[in-house]
Amino acid sequence: MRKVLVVDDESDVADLFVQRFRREIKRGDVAFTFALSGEQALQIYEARPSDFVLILSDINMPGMSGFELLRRLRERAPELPVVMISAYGDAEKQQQARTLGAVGFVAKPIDFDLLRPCVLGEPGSDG
Amino acid sequence: MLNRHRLLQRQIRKYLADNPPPELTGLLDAVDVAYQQLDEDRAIIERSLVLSSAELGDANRALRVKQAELEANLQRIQAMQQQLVVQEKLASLGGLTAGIAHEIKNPLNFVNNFAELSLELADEMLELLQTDGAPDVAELRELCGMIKGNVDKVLRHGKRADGVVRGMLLHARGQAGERAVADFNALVDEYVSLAFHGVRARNPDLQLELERQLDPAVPHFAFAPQDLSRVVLNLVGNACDATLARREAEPDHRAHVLVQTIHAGASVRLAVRDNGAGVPAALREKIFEPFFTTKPPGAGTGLGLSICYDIVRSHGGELAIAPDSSEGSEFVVSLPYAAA
Ligand SMILES: Nc1ncnc2c1ncn2[C@@H]1O[C@H](COP(=O)(O)OP(=O)(O)OP(=O)(O)O)[C@@H](O)[C@H]1O
Ligand SMILES: [Mg+2]
Repeated sequence: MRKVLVVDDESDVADLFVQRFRREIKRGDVAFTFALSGEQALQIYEARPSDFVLILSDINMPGMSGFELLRRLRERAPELPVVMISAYGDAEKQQQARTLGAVGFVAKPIDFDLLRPCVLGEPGSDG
Repeated sequence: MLNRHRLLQRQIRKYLADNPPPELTGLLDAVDVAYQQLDEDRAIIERSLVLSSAELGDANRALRVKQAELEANLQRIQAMQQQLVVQEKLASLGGLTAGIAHEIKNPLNFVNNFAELSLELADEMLELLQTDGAPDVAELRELCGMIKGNVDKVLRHGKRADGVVRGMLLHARGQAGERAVADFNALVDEYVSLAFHGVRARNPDLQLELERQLDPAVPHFAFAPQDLSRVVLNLVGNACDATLARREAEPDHRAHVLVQTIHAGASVRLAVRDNGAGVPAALREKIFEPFFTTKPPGAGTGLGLSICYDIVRSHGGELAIAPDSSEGSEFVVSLPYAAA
C-alpha cells in the first residue's frame, strides 16, 4: 500500500482526495494522511518517516508555507518525492518549486487524471 | 490735410484778392510750413502704426499658433494622464491579479472537482437502479448522501468565489452595496477585530494596544454593511500600519490605536486615532487620491482611502483627517443616519 501525505489548510481537500481515490482506497492500493499546516505535516512525517512514499503540499498556507515545508523535508529526506499543488499557476512559482527540489507541480483546479498516476506510482508519471 | 490746407489757402486768397498784404503772406507761409510739418509727422505716425499693427498681427498669429500648440499639448497631457490612471489601475489590478486568481482558483478547485464527482456518483446510482432485481437501498442511500454533501460544497465554494469577485469589482469600480438597517457598533466591533487579525497575520510578534470605545447611544440605522466594513478595515489597517512603522523606528514606542463610535446629533461618528508618525501637512489632501501610497511596492495599493472616501460620500457622510494629525493621526467618518 502506498502511503501519501496531503498538506493543505483547506479541510475540504481531504474529502476531495478520499472521494477521488475511493476505489483505490477500498482496494488498499493507497492510503492518505491529511495535514492542515506545514507544521502539522512535519510532525506527522517525523513521527513515522518511513511511512510515506509521496508528499503533496499546497504552497500558500498560514504559518509555514509549502515551500518552507519542502525545504525542511529536503533536509530530512532528500529522496522523498514532493509534489506542490497550488492555485498559483505562474511559471515563477513552478520554477521555484523545481529549484527547491519538488518533483512536480500541479495547478488548482486539480486535474485528477494527471495526478492519479503520480499518486498511484504508476509508470510514466513524473509528477 | 495738405489738400484741405490748399483749399483754405485758395479761399483766403479769393477773399483778399490776388495780392494779399505781405504780413498775411508771411503768416500764410508759416501756416503752410506748419501744416507740411504736421503732415510729415502724421505720415511717420501712420507708417509706424501700419508697421506696428503688422508686427502685432505677426505676434498675434504666433500667439495663436502657440495657443493651438498649448491646447494640443494640454489635450495630449490629459489623454496621457487618463491613460496613466487606467494603466495604474491596471497595474494595481495586475498586482492584485495573482492574489485574485489564487483566491478564485481555490474555491474553483472544489467546485469543479465536487461537481464532477457528483456526476460520477449519480451515474453509479443510475447503474444500480438499472440492474435487475431489487437495488441495494443502503448503497443508494450512501451514494445519495455523498452527492448531497458534494453539491453542498459546490454551492459553498461557488459563493466564496462570488464573494471574491464581488469584492474585486467593488474595489475596481467603487460600486455601492445594498443598505439595511443594522447595528453599526456591532459592525465596527467585528471588523476592528478582523483588521487587527489581518495586521497580526503580517506581523507575528505584534505588540499593539487596540482600544475600543463604542457609544451605546449609537442608533441602528440604514447602511451598506459590506461597504462600511471596508472603511473600518482600511482605517484601522492604516492606523495599525502607522503605529507599527513608528515602532520600527523607535523600538520603545508603545503602539496604540483607539477606535470610537460617537452618537452626535443627527449623525454617527467613527473616529480612528493612532499614535503613529502622523500625516505631514503637505500630504493631508494627497492621501485621499487614488494610488497615493507611501508603503513599499506590493504592500499598499493606495486605493484604500480613496475607496473609503467614495463609500462614505455615497452614504451622504464625510471622511476627514483631523486637523491635529501631525502627532499621530485621527480619521473621522461622520454619517448622517437620517439621510438615505
Ligand atoms: N493613520 C495613518 N497615519 C499615517 N499615514 C497614513 C494613515 N492612513 C493613511 N496614511 C497615508 O496615506 C496613504 C494612503 O492610504 P491608503 O489607505 O489610501 O492606501 P495604502 O494604505 O497605502 O494602501 P492600501 O489601502 O491599498 O493598503 C498611506 O500610504 C499613508 O502614507
Ligand atoms: Mg490603506
